[in-house]
Amino acid sequence: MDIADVWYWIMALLLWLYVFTDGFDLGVGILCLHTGDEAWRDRMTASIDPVWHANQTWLVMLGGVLFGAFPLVYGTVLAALYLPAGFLLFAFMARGIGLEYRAEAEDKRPWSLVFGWGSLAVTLAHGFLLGGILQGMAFADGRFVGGAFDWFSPFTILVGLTLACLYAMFGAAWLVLKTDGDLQTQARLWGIRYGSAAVAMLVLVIGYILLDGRLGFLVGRPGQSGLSPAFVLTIVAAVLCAALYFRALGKGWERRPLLYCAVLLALVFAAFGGNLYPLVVPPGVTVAMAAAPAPMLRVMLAVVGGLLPVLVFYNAYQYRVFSGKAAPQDEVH
Amino acid sequence: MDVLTDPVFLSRVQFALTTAFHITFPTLTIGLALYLVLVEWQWLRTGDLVYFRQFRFWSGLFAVNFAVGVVSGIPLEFQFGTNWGPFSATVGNFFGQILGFEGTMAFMLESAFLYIMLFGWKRVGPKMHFFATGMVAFGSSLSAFWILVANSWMQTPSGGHIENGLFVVTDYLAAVFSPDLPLAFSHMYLACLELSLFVIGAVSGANILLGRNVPFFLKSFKLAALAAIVVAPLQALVGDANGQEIGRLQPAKVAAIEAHWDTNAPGTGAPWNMLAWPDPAAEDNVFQIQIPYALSLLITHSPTGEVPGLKDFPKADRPPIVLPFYAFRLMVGVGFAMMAVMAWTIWEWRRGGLTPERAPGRRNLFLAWGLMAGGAYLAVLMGWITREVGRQPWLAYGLIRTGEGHSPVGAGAVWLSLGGFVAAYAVLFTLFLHFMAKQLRKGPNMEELPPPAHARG
Ligand code: HDD
Ligand code: HEM
Ligand code: HEM
Repeated sequence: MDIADVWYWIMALLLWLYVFTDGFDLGVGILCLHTGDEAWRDRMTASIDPVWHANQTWLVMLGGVLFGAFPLVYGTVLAALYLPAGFLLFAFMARGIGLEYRAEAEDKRPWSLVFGWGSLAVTLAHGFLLGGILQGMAFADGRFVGGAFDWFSPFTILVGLTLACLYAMFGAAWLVLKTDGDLQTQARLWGIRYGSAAVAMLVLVIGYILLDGRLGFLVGRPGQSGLSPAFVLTIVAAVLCAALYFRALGKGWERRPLLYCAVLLALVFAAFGGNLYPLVVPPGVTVAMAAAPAPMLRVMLAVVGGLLPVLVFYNAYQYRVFSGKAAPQDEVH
Repeated sequence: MDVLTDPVFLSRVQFALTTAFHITFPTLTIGLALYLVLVEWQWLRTGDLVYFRQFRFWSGLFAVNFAVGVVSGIPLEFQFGTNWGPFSATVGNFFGQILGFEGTMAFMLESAFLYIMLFGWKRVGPKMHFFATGMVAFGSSLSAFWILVANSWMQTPSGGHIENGLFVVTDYLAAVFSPDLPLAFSHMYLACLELSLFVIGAVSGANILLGRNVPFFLKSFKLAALAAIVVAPLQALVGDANGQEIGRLQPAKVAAIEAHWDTNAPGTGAPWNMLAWPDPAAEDNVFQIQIPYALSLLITHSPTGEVPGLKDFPKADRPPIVLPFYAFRLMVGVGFAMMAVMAWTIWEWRRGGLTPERAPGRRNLFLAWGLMAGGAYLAVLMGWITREVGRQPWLAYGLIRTGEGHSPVGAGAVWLSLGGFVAAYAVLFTLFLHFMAKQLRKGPNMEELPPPAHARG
C-alpha cells in the first residue's frame, strides 16, 4: 500500500472516531429537545459534560490532518462548501455556548434550547458537507468552478436527516449507559424510535442513490448498474448489527447498545466509503492526486501515527475517570 | 467603494476580525494555566488552604475564557480552507501539517485533561489532579508554539521553494524553525504572561480597593507583581531584538512601521519619526517629529547604520503604512507604561504600602494596574496588526501574494459569513462579559475545603 493510501485510511479512522464520539453527544443535544424537564436535561448534559469537548476536538484534529495530508482537498472542498462550512461553524458556537453557559446560568431553559437546536444544526451541517462531498463537485484544473449553492440538493438534505436519526440513536444508547430510572427507560424508547428511523432513512438513501444514476458508483462496481456484492454484504452485516442493537435495548442491557452503534457506524462507513476509494472527492479527485508529497506524509505518519495511540489512551482514561452514572457536575464537596 | 465588493479584501477583514477576537482569550488562558500550576504546587507543598482557594477562584475565570477561546478558534482553522483555498492547496503539505500537529499534540491534551482539572477533584488523587493541571498548561503553551511556527513561516518562509504550484520542502527543520520563530514566539509568549499577570493584578487590586478578601487578593497581587517585575522589562528587550530581526528579514515592514521614506546616505544616520502622518500618495510625511540618528540606532545599533527607505521598494511590494505606524507606537507605549507601573509598585511595596491595612488606600496604584490590564490587550492586538498588516502584500512573504491565495468565493458569500461573525461575536462577547462579571462578583469561596484524602482517587 502506498503511503497516501495509509493516510486515506487514517483519515477514515479519525472520521469514524469523530462521528461516533461527537455523534452521541450531539444526539444527546437533539434528545434534549424531546423533553421540557430541566432536571432531566441536567442529567443528560451532565453525562456529556466531561467528554464533549474532547470529542469535538477530534474534528479539529481531523481538519488539521486533512489539511496536511490532502491539501488539495482542504483548499478546494471547503471553498466549494463555503456556506455549509460556515453554517457548521455558527452551529458549533451555538451548541458549545449553550452547553457551557447552561451550567452557569440561573434560568437554564433558553440555554437548553440553544444547545439542543445548535446540536441539530451541527448535525444537519455535517450532513450537508458529507452529502456535498459524496455527490461530487465541479472541478477544473484543481479549482472549484461551481456556484455557492451547488451543494444544496435533495441528496444532501437526506444525508443530513439520516445523520440526525443516527446521532439521536447513538445519544439514546449513551444515555442508557449513563443514566438510570425513568430517564433510562425513556432513553430506551428514544433508542428504539430513532434506531428504526435511522434504518428507514438509510434505506431511503440507498433508494435515492439507485434512482439517481450519477451516484451509482457509491453502491455499485465502476461502470455497472445495480449493487456490488461487497456493498450488499456490508449492508446485510449492518442490518444484523441493528437487530442486535434493538435486542440489547429490549433486554435492558446497558453497555451493548452503544457498542453496536459504534459497529453499525463502522459498517455504514465501510459500505459507502469502501466503494469511494480511490476517490477522495467525486467525480475526479483521487487519493494520488490530492495527497501531499510522500516525504511529507512520512514525517506526518511518524508524528501523528505515533501519537494516536497515546491520544486514544488518555481519552479512554478520561472516560474511565468519569465512568458510572452521570451526576450533575462533580463539585468539590 | 470597490473594496466593499472585493472578496479578497473582505476575507482579509474577516480573518483579521476573527483572529483578533480569538487571541483575546488564549492569551489569558495560557498565562492563567501557569498560575494555576504554581498555586496548586504550592498547595501540595505547604498544605496552606489559601492556595487551594486561589486555584478554585482563578480556575473559574479560566473556564469562562477557555470556552470562548475554543469556539472562536475553530473558525480560524476552517478559514484557511474556505477563504484561502489556493494558499492552502499550495503550502498545505507543510503549513497544514503544522496545524495538524497543533491539534494532535496540543488541543487534544488540553481538552482531555480540562474537565479533570475543573471537576475531577473527587475522582482522582492529588498527584493526578496536579498532573492534569500541568497537562492543560503544557497543552496551551504548546498550541501557542505550533501556531507561531505556522505564522512565523508565513513571515519568513524557509526550508523549501514553490515548484509547479506546490511548496516543496527541502529542509524540514529549517521550515519549522524559520528565522522569525525564536524571537516571535518568545515575544508572544511573554505577551501572554504579561497580559495574564496584569489581569490577575488588576482583578486583585479592584477587590483590595473594595475591601473584599484583602489578604487573599494581596497574595495573588504580590505573586503577579513579583513575576511582572521580571517580565515587563524582558518583554521590551525581546521586542527590541524583534525589531532588529525584522529590519534584517522584512526591511519593507520596518520602513512602513517607521514611515521611513528615504534610505539614509552612507555616513548619515536615519532619524526616527516619533510621530508622523504618512501620505503614501505623495511618498512623504505630511508632518513629522524626528529624533536624529535614533532609527539607525534602534534597528542596527549603530548611529549611522543603513536603514532602507520605502522608496527603495516597488510600489507593488509596499505594505500599508498608517496602520502599522500607529499600531506599533501604541504597543511600545503600553510596554513602557507597564515598566513605569512596575517601578511604582516596587516603590510602594518597599515603602510598606502593600500591607493588608494600608493596601486598600493605594487607589491610584491599583487604578494604574487596571489601566495596564486593558493596555495589555491593546498591546497584543496592536502588535499583531503591526506584524500582519506589515507583512502585506504577501501572504507568505516573498512567496505568495495575498490576492493569489484567495479562494474562488464571491463577495456575497464572504459578506454573509463576515456579517454572521460580527453578529455572533457581538453576542458571544456580551455573554462572556456577563459570565465573567458573575464570577468576579461571586469572588472566592473562603469556606470551601478540598475533599478529604480518603474520598479522592
Ligand atoms: C503585552 C503585550 C506587548 C508589549 C508590552 C509589547 N509587545 Fe511587541 N508584540 C506583541 C505584544 C507586545 C505581540 C502581540 O505578541 C506581537 C505580535 C506578534 C508577535 O509575535 O508578538 C508583537 C510584535 C512585535 C514586533 C514584531 C512585528 C513583526 O514581527 O512583524 C516588534 C518589533 C515588537 N513587537 C516590538 C516591541 C517593543 C519594542 C516593545 C517595547 C516595549 C513591545 N513590542 C512591547
Ligand atoms: C492572533 C493574533 C492575530 C491577529 C490579531 C492577526 C491579525 C491579522 C490582520 C490584521 C490581518 C489582515 C492584514 C491585512 O490584510 O492587511 C490578518 C491576516 C491574516 N492572518 Fe493574521 N493575525 C493573527 C494571527 C495569525 C496567525 C497565528 C496566523 C497563521 C497561523 C495568521 C494568518 C493570517 C492569514 C492567512 C491572513 C489572511 C491573508 C492576509 O491578509 O495576508 N494570523 N491577520
Ligand atoms: C498567536 C495566536 C494564537 C495563539 C497563541 C493561540 C492559542 C490557542 C490556545 C491556547 C487555544 C486553546 C483554547 C484556549 O485556551 O482558550 C486555542 C484554541 C484554538 N485555536 Fe488558537 N491561537 C492563536 C491563533 C490561532 C489561529 C490563527 C488559528 C487558526 C488556525 C487557531 C486555531 C485554534 C483552534 C482550532 C482552537 C480550538 C482548539 C480546541 O478545540 O481545543 N488559533 N488557541
